[in-house]
Amino acid sequence: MDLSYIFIVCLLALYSADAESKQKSGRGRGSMWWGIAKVGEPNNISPISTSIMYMDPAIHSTLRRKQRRLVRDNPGVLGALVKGANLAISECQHQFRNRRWNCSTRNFLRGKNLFGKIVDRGCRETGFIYAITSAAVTHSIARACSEGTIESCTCDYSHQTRSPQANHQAGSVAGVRDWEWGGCSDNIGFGFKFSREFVDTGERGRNLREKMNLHNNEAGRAHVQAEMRQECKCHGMSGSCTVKTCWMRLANFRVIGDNLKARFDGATRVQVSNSLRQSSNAVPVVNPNAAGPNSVVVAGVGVGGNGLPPSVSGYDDEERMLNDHMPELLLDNSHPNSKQHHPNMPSPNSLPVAGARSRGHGRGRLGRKHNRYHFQLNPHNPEHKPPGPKDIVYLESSPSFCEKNLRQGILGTHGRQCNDTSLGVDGCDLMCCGRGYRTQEVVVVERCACTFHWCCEVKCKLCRTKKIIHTCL
Amino acid sequence: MDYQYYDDEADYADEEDGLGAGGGGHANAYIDHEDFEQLRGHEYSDDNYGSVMDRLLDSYEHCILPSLTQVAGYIVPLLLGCLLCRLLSAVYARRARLVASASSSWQEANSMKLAPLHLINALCGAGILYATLGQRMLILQLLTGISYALLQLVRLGKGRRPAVALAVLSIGSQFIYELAIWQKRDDWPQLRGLQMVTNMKVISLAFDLTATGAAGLHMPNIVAYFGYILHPATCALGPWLSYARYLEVLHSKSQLRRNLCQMLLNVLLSLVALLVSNCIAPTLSELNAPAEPLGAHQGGWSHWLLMYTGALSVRTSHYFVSLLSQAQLAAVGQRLDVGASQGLLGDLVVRPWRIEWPHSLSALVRCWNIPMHEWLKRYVYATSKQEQLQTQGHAQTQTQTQAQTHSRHSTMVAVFCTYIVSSLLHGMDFRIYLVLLSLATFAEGETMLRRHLATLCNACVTANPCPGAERCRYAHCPRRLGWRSWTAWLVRLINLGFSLLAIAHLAYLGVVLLNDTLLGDSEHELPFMYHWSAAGYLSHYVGIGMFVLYMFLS
Repeated sequence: MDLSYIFIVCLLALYSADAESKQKSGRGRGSMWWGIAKVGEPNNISPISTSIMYMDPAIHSTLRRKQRRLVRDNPGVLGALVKGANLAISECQHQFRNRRWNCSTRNFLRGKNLFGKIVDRGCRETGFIYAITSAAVTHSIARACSEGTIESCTCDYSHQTRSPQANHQAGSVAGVRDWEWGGCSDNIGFGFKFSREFVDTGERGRNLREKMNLHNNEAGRAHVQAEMRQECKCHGMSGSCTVKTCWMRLANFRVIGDNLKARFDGATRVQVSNSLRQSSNAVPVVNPNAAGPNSVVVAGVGVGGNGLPPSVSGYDDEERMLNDHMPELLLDNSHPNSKQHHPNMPSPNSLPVAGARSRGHGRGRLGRKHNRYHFQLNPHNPEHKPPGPKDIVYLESSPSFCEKNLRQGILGTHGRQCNDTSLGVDGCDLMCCGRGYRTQEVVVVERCACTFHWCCEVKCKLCRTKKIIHTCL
Repeated sequence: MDYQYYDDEADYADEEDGLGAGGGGHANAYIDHEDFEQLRGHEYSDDNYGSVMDRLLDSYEHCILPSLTQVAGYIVPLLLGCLLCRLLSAVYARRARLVASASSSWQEANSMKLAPLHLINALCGAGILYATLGQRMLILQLLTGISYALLQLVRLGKGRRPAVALAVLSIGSQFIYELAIWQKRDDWPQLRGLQMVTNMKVISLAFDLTATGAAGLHMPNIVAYFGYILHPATCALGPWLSYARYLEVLHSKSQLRRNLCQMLLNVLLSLVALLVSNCIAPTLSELNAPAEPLGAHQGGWSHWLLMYTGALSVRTSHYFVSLLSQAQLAAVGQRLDVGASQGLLGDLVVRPWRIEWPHSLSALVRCWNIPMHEWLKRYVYATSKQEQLQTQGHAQTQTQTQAQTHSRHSTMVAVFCTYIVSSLLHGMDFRIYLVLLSLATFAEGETMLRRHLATLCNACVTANPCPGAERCRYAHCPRRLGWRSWTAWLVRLINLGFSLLAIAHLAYLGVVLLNDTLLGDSEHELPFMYHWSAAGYLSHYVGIGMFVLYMFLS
């Protein structure tokens, strides 16, 4: 077993090196992992068993070497990743069901991108895909953590410890404000870190496109963090708080999808900036309340004065969570040699083996990784505000998505259903790009007259209704 | 919406394919949010119906399990401390050959023979406090020590005066602590309940000492005092326990097996109450109010359901605490002052069934926290009534009717005094003042109206349930009349109406305490009066209306 394992690993290493060299031409190098959504589907060759799932050839054609290592070192993470990728796809398709581009995915083919060639363009849609996939991975990993399916991250009971040293460490690892009375959380900290390690592997941040991807990945994660709620309840004599129970709760992913869609509608077009941030540690130390290490992505001005309405942002939560990295950062500054507590580095508690290995790469790599998230994107239109940490950014205008164009990976809107009364993008005028539409009457069987029976049962009737359907020519 | 900056339409409009036909419409390709909002709204209501089971499962994963694990970590040291205390005192009692039945008098309590028992109690209690509070228990101990110093005041004066002074001082000093520790808001809410119990114990001790006449002689020494205050069953979660009762059961403990059964049953029930409070009631209220904007369902039936489930969460939280303290009492084998039903659950702190289906508001208040009610009755209600009688005692030349109205008047004043003291005991919490004073008004109005109705109709509709067929003073008593008579049904119907009214009042009042003492950053939390204003202050109108009706009738 051992020998064959080693053999397979060697083989895969060769294989993947080969695959990577092929992909280097493409722009979406960091996005191949999306194909993991199709792992376990019948069109793949080998049967799946959970223990050897990471040997599935489909995984090796989609994951980069570091991603495979992460998967191998954190048993149980693969299922969450597959779940997350599928979550992202279904949410994206839900959000875009009424638009010309409906987030269609292609059948999985080795070496091809799951969402098609649209990813090669740096348009809004691409930005959304990056954000929602990274958000979905964060979400599903955090969920899986709290459910205990990932062995390397249990329910994070570590932050129940009372000693200040341990508390400090655990709190910052979890990325969650630690409570006096302890408790179990959706381990958002682990999800966040894992998502950074896993999703951002291919994006070095060296060119603008990679910066855009990094920014959008971060934006997706920021939305997940912002939607995490701490729920507490006190018990005690007449309303005092003698016993307190707390738990963390991630919002339904639909909420995150809605928020991201709102950001998509208000996405910022960015261009090359010449003010790359050099001294990255300066900002958070000077202004600890306004910016944590990963909100340094934007300039300090943009963070505070973003003017988000409270209903949308939930900004306090985010700041609170971001600020949890602060003690580490301060520690870092006071002891320049103790690098293992660095926020961008996997800390020993959260990612046990991968962390140990990447630490071995030495200081040069560390510096580069650290700076990866420290850049400033400037808006294309100088009158616009610079993009905030939760905004989606894009580089170039979107194609019209009207006509089929396989070279660009656009399927076109031929045959799509539309709404003849709507004036929006789902209306027939816009959807069919003025080509006109066909109207037909069909009989639809659907659930109707649903009533809610106490408790917890919904009873529906089946109705046959005639419906008029419009499809684009 | 200022965070959404729209790019030029040209950014998104066709530029490559240059389809001129649809070009005019493209301008609003990204601006038609309203349509999407509507679509999204429809989508949501569908989802809500579909995912009821999902949501229950979700609440199992994310609420029930974490709640149980956290509370288990809290309960275990409590019960272990209690059992350890019981074990140690039993061992000591056997070795020192203390007679089991001899209830020790107050002077004996200071003897060297009993000191180890006090010490065991104090140490176990301190251990429990340390396990649950950590370093903060030191603050509590400091305050307890200060209270002991204050207690020495009762040696000075004669009569009830020093005890009243001590009560004022204790409650006043609690306010000062609260102001001083106000900066660290995390700490105080956790200590407040415990400090309240300590205050109640000290005040009751002062009153009892003055009642004996020779306060200096009976004054417990410091070991006995700490043993009483830190009594393991009552130090962490209450309830109040009188010093006499504490001494009585100090070394005469029996029925271990029966007590263990009571303890387990209480713990199980308290866990059920906890789950209802933490998980089930919020889920129910979410089901009642599906993802609508909050302004949409103001008033109306669904809002009252929402308030009911919210208040249910508050009530079950109280049951959790009370049942847990019952479990502790059973573990130690301690009896309470109101030795009510010594049944399956041991001495009762709360009677949940009488609260969920109340006969009247005042009956409900009596069952909410039985020891606390006893405390208020003994030391506040009785005291204030006697004070009034003394002041009126000078004017002996009153006619009979005047005396009657005066006594009724003084009862009312005493009742309000009780409520005020009770709310002051809770410390600086505006919501509790508001709730308790409203409750006082509603309950008093209801009691007097029902008493008046009972005498008018000669029917058994008083706020206190009729004692039984034989002792019922009224002609129309359903128990005596049996099932046939229609007047019996009418009486039952009236009582049912008052019960439902009490349930509605309770939901209305309880929901205010729902978000109480949540330390979280409350950006999307509602102002605490929200539910009241959404219900149009209906209960207040009804409650005051009853009062006015009573005034009108009499």
